[in-house]
Amino acid sequence: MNDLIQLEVQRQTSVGRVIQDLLNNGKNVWSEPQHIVEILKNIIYSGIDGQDQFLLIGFPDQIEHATLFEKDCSKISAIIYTTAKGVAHVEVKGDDLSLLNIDSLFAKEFRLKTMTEWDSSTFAMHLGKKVNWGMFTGRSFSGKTTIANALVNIKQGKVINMANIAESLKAKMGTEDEPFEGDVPIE
Amino acid sequence: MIGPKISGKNTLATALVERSNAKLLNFNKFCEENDLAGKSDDDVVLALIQQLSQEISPRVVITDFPQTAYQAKFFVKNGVHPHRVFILNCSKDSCQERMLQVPVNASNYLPSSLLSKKIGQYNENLKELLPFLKANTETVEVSSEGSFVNSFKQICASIEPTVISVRSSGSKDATAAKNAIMAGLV
Repeated sequence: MNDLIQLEVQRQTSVGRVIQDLLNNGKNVWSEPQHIVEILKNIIYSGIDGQDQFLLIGFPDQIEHATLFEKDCSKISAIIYTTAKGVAHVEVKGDDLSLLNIDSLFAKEFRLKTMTEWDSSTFAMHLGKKVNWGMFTGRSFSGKTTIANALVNIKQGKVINMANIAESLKAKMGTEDEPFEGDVPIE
Repeated sequence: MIGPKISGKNTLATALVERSNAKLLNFNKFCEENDLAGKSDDDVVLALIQQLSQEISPRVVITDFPQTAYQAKFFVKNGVHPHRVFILNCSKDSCQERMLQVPVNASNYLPSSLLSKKIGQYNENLKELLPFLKANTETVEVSSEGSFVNSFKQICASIEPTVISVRSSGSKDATAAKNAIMAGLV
């Protein structure tokens, strides 16, 4: 992050000039994290095709910084927290997030993922590229479809309606003269 | 970003441009400012394309465009492919309910009968527009029926990159692991 800040100051960009003023007045850049977020925002949303994965190193470090970054720029998909093998790392006790650093907050929200070495499949799993399934079952007209549709609106999921699939299969299994009747075999 | 009248297009688009360093272009306002009212669809779309070609912002969010399948086809045919099309879904009843909250002297106020007519027109245009957009662009349908926060979350989830923070517990072994993981990630 320090390199990025220096670069902005050297290039005399609008945010670079603001940071320069802060430094000239003896203030700490990290005390006004909105400027850091602004720098990152310019990079993350630069509009360059294909640039849709970013690693943040050295920022955010405090809960306040992470909250600001997520409010004004982008959600942080995960924190990859590296530890030596077999070493205990972050401990979360109750709801009292007394520590200022972000590890305990992210651990509490299940977004802190520990890794001891590079492994692509573990990494993919940590990023949620593993599908989470849920099932709705109930009597006819009990509200399965309505609730499932409401849920996917909130959770960004997808509804697979087995009744619709069965109907489309029935259409393929029968003919116009002899439509398929009965239940579609499970297999 | 398209959707029926008072479905939240401008509110959501304003929040989106603020968050993603984009520029907002309100199509209706653009037509007004450039005396395009009453001009043919070809002229209007060409004027918009010209405006976009001069744009220096890397991202532009256009609200209320395209309004018809013809406009969409003409836009794409002339080589402009939007990265995303957000379609706001909001029922007529919810739109009517929202309009009740708008002061009568506000610029976006419409009496109930006129609003109903506008929504009817929008839905009519959507019948041909939606299949074209779905077939030719990355279309994201967003429910703007509920709260702003929920609708905005759906939009953000579609445009935001994957951002990962890499941290270490600080020990020598953990730092070595961090370097190895970073090498794997990059």
